[in-house]
Amino acid sequence: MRLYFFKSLVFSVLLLIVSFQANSQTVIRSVTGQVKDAEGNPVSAAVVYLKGTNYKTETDDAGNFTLSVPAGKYVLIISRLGFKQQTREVILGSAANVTLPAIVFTNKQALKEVRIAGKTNAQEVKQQAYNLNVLDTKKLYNTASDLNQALNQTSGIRVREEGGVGSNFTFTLNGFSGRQVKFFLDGIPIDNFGSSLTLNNFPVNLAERVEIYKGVVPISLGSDALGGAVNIITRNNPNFLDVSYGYGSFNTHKASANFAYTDAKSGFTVRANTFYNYSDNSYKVKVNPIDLATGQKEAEQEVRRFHDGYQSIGAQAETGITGKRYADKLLFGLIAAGNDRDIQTGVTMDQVFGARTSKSTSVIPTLKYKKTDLFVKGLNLSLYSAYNFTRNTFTDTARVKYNWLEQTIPSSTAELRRSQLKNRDNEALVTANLSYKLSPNYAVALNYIMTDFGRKSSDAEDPANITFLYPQNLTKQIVGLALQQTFDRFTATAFTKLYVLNAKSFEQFNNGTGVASYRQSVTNATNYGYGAAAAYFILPQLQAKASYEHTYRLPEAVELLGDGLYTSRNSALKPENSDNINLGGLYQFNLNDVNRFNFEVNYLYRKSHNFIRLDQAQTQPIDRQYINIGDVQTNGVEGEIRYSWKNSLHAAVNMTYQSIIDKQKTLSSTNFQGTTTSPNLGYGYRIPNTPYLFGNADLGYRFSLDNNHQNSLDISYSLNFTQNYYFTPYQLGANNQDVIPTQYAHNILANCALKNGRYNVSLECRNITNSDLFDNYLLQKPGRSFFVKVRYFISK
Amino acid sequence: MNIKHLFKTALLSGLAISLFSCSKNSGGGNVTPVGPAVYALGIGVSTSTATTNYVVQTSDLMNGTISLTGNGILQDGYRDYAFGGSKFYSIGGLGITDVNTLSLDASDKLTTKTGLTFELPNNDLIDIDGTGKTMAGVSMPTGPTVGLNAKFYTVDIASNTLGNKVNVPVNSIYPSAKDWIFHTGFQVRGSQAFQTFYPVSAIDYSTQNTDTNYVAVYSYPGFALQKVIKDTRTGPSGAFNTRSGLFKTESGDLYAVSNSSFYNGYSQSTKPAGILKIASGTTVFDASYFFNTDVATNGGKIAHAIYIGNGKLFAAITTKVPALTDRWSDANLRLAIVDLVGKTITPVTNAPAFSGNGGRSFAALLDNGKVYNAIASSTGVVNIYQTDIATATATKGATIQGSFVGGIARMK
Repeated sequence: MRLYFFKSLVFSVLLLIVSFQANSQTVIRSVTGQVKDAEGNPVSAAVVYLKGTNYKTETDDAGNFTLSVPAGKYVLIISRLGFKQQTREVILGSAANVTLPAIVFTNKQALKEVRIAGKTNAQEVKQQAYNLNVLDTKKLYNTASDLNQALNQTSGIRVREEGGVGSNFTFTLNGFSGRQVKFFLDGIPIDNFGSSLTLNNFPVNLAERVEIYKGVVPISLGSDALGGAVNIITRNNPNFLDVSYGYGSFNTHKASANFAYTDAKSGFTVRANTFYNYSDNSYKVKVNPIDLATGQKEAEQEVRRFHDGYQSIGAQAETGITGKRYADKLLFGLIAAGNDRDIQTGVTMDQVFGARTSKSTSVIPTLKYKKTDLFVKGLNLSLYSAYNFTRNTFTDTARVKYNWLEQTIPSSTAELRRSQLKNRDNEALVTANLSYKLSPNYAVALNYIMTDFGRKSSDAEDPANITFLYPQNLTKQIVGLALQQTFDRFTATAFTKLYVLNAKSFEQFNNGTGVASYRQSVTNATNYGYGAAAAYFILPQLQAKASYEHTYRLPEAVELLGDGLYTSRNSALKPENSDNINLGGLYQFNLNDVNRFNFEVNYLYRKSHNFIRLDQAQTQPIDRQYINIGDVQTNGVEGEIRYSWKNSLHAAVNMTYQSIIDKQKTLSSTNFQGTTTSPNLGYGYRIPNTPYLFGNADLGYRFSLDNNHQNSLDISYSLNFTQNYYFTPYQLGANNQDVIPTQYAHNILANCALKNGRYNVSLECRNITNSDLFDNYLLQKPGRSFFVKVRYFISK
Repeated sequence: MNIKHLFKTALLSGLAISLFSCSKNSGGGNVTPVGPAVYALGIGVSTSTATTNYVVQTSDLMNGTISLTGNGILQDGYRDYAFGGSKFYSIGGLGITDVNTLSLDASDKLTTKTGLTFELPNNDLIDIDGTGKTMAGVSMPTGPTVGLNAKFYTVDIASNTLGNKVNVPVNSIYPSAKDWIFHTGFQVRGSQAFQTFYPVSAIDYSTQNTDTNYVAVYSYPGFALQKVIKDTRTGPSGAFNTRSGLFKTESGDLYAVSNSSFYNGYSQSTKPAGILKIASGTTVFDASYFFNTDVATNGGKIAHAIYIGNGKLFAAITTKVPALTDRWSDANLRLAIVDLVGKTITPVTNAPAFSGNGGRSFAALLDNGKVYNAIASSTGVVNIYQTDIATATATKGATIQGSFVGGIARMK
C-alpha cells in the first residue's frame, strides 16, 4: 500500500510536470469475458473486479465485460445480488490479452427468475437517500421517444409541450419550472447550451439513465436549483455501437448513432453520441381562421400546420485515455449542435405565422478528468470543464401576414415585429469534486462549481436598442461540502452549500434634458444553504428515506440589475428560496418466484419564498422592476406500483397529486412614491396554470420467439393522464373558458428484437385515439401518429 | 375537489350587489339583476402570478361588494374597453387583438359575441357621434419595427363588422428620423377626424420634443390625412397610454389637453400644462383661447379626463408639481371638474388623492348628472366613487373585489 501511495504521488507530480502527456510505459493488457445465468441468458450489471485493486467494471446488457490492467497475476471476482459469487484466477502475461471462458452464475437460492432479482445500476442509484426518479432509458431504446417524452412517464414531472417535435416546452417538477429546475449532462450544467441541446432533442439512446433529484440535490450537482435537478448520464459501455433510424407521421425522421471504443491495451478511448431530428410537424389542428380582409374569425375548421418544420443535429465526441494510473479517465471532447425552427404560432393558435424562424448553434469543448485514489487511497478527484459558445438567431422579416388558410396580406414591416436578433452567449463552466474516504463508513466530499455567463445581442433591424448596447454578465460560484456515512442498512449525508453571485449590467439615469445616460452597475451576493438526507432499510426489502434542503435560486443579472431600459435595478431583490422536505418509502414484495411487486410512496413538502417576478402593478413600458413576490406552499404525494410476472409481463402505474397553494397574502409594489400594498385575491388558492393531478400507466408483455430467448417480441401500452386545470385563477369568474382540458394519451408499441437485441424493429403509435391534446391553453399538440424504428446494437 | 365545478351551474355573470348577494353563489342559485339600471364593469385582478381581466354586471354601483369569486366573464389577456350603442367592447386578448362584444340578452344578462379582430392593438375606439351606430378606431404601431402605418377603421355596431380600413404612414403624420409618435386622443366631427399624439423615442421612450402641440386632421370616413396643425403655447396633448388628449363639445368645439407630466412618462417638460381650442367649424387653433392649468386656481396637470357635457371635463389632476424622479408614477392625483369655457377648476370634495393605473384605464361613466369612477386606496382596496357634478361632491360607493377598473358602462 505504501508503495502504491508512493507510486501515485510520484506519478501525480510527474503528471503535473508533463501536463497530462499520455504515458504508455506500463504494459496494459485486457481480460474479457461473458457472464451468463444457468439458462444461458446474459447477466447484465454484474460487478467484475480484481481482488485487491481498484480495477472494476460491470457487465453490459449482453453480459460482456472488459478490464484493462497492467500485466500481472490477479484474482477476478464476479458478483451480483441473487447469485453466488464467482472467482477466476487470471494471469496476464505481457504477450497477449486473455479471454475467459463463459462464466456461469448459479442462483443463490435456486431462483428460477434471477435476472429481475438483481439490482440494475438504475436501481442502485435509486436507493440513495435522496428522493429521486431514475429513468432507466435502456428499456426505451427501441422507442422514438426523446428524453422529454420519457421523463413525462415518471412521477412528479409534467413536460408541457407547445406542439410537435422541437417545440418549446416547460419542464415542471413538483410545480417548479423554468430556472428553478437545473439540467446537467454528465454533471455539466446545460441550462445555457442553446435550444438544440435540450431534453426534447436528445434521443433516449444517448443516455444510460437519467436521474431526477426532487427538491434536494446532492452537492455533486452543485447548482442553485430551487426545486430539483435532472442529470443525464450518457452511455458508459466501453465498446459498443448503437445505431438507429426511425420514420413517422408528419414526415418525422429521427436518427441516432452512439459508439464507444476502448483499446484494452493502451486505454485509448473514443466515444461519440450523435443525433438528428427532422419533422414537418404538419399535424392537423382545430382553429378559427381569421379572414384577413374583414378581420372576422371564421367557423372552426381543421387545418394542417404549414410552417412548423424543425430539424436539429448534434454530436458529442470524446477521446482520451482510460484506466491509467494518473487518470481513470482523461477525455477531451467536443459538443456541437444546431437547430432550425419554423415558428407557426404565438402564445395561442389564434396568432399564426408563416415565415418567422429561429436558429441556434452551439460549440462546446469539454475536458473530463477523473482519478480515484489520487495521492492517497480513498481520495477521488473529478474535474469537468467546458466552454460554451452558443449563437441564437431569430428572424421576422417577411412583410406579410398569414392566416391559417395560408392566405396573406402585405405588412409594412414584418409578421409581428421586424427583427434579426442575434444572441451570442459565451459561458465558462468548471465543476470539481473531491471526495475522501475517512473510514469504511465515513466520507467527505467537497464540490466547486463555477459558471460565468455573458450574452451579447444585436439586431440589424433595431441597432439602437439600448439593451443590446449594454450587455450583462453573471458569475455564479457554488461550493458544497458533504459528510456521508454508509452502514449496511443506513446511509446518511449532511451538506452545506455556499452560493456566491457576481452580476454586471447597466442602468439608465435621467438628468432632465430628456436624454438618458447609462452607467455600469454591479452587485455581489452571498447565501448559505444546507440540507441532509438519510435512508434506512427497515427490512431488507423495505427502505425508508427522508431528505431536507434549504436552497436558493440566484437571480439572473437582468432580474437584479435590469437591462438598462425595460427593467431597472432592484437592489433589494433577494434570491428565491425554498425549504424542501421529502419523506418516502420503497418496498419490494415477491408473492412467489414469479409474481413481483415494487411499491414506492413519497410525500413532499415545499415552502418557497420570494419568487422573482416582474412587478405587475407597474404599468409603464420601461423601468419596471423584478420583485420578490410569491410565497408558495406545496404538499404533494406521489406513488408508484410496479408488478412483473416472470420475465414476461410488466405493469406499472404512478400517480402524482400536488397541492400548490399561493401563500402570498398581500401584493406590494414599491413605486417612486413609496410602497403600496393590496390584497392578493389568489391567497389560499391553487397556483393557476400548473398541473396538479396526473399519472401514467404502462403494461407490457414479452413473447419469446424461440427457446433460447434470443429473439423476442415486446408489446407495450402506455397511458398519460393529466387532470384539467386552468390558465388563470379558477376561483375568479364563472364558467371560465381557459381550461387546459383533462387529457388521456394512449400509446402503443410493438418491438421485435432478434439475436439478443442486436437487431430491433419497432412500430409505435402515439395518441391512438386521436384525442385533441393540450398542455397549454389553446396550443394543440399532435393527434394520432405512427413511427417505425430500426436499431442495430452490438456491445463487446 | 375542484371548486370550479361548484360554480359550473352558477350564472354566467351572476352578480353581487346588495349585502345578501355579495358573497359567492354557492349551489348555483340564479341572481337576477334588480332595478332598472344594468352596469358593466371591466375589472382587472392582479395575483402574485399574473393580471387577469373580467367583465361583471351589476345594478348597484353604490352598495356592497362587486365580487369576482365565482362571478364574471373571464377576458383573455390584457383588455381595454369601449362603449357604443349598448355594446360594451372588451378589446385585447392573447397574441391577437380580438374583440369581445358584450350586450344584454332578453333576461338582462351579459352575453358575448366574438369574431371581430383588429390587425394591431387598438389605441382608441369611439362612438363617433353618440348615436350608437358607428365606432371609429385607431391602431398605432408602437415603433417602426412593428409597423410603419397608423391604421384607422370603423366598426358597424349592429353587424359587428369592420369597414373603411385605411393605412396612413406614421412618417406622413410626423416626419422625423428621431422620434416616433404615440396616440393620445381621437374625435370625429362631421366629415373630419382629429387625432392628438406626442413625439417620443421608440428606442428609449425619452421625449425630446415637448415644445409643440400637434393635432392631425383627417377626412372622415376616408381617413385621408389633410394636415397637422401645431401650436407652441403648450406641449403635446396627452401622455403614454392615455386617451385624454382631445375632447369634443356638443357644439363641435375641440379642446386639446396637454400635461407633459413626468408622472405620465415625459422625460422633460418645457411648456406649461394647458388646454388649446379648435373652434367649431374650423381646423386651426383658436389663438384667443389658452387655458394654462398649471397656474389656474386648484390647477395642475390634467393626467386623465372624460367629457361630461356643457363644456366640462371630469378630470384627474395633479396635486403636486411632478419631478423627474417620479417619472411613470401617475401619482398625486385628485378628482376635479374642469370648465373649459369658463377656465375654472373645481376640486371634487370627499374623494381621496390617488394614483392612476399608468393611464391605461381612467374608467369613468357619466350617468344622470353623476360620474362614477374607481379609486384604489393606499391599501389597495378599490371603491366606486360617485361624483355629483352640480356640487362637485363625491360619495364612496361599492367595493370592487379587484385591483383596478378598466372600463365601466351603463348597459340599460
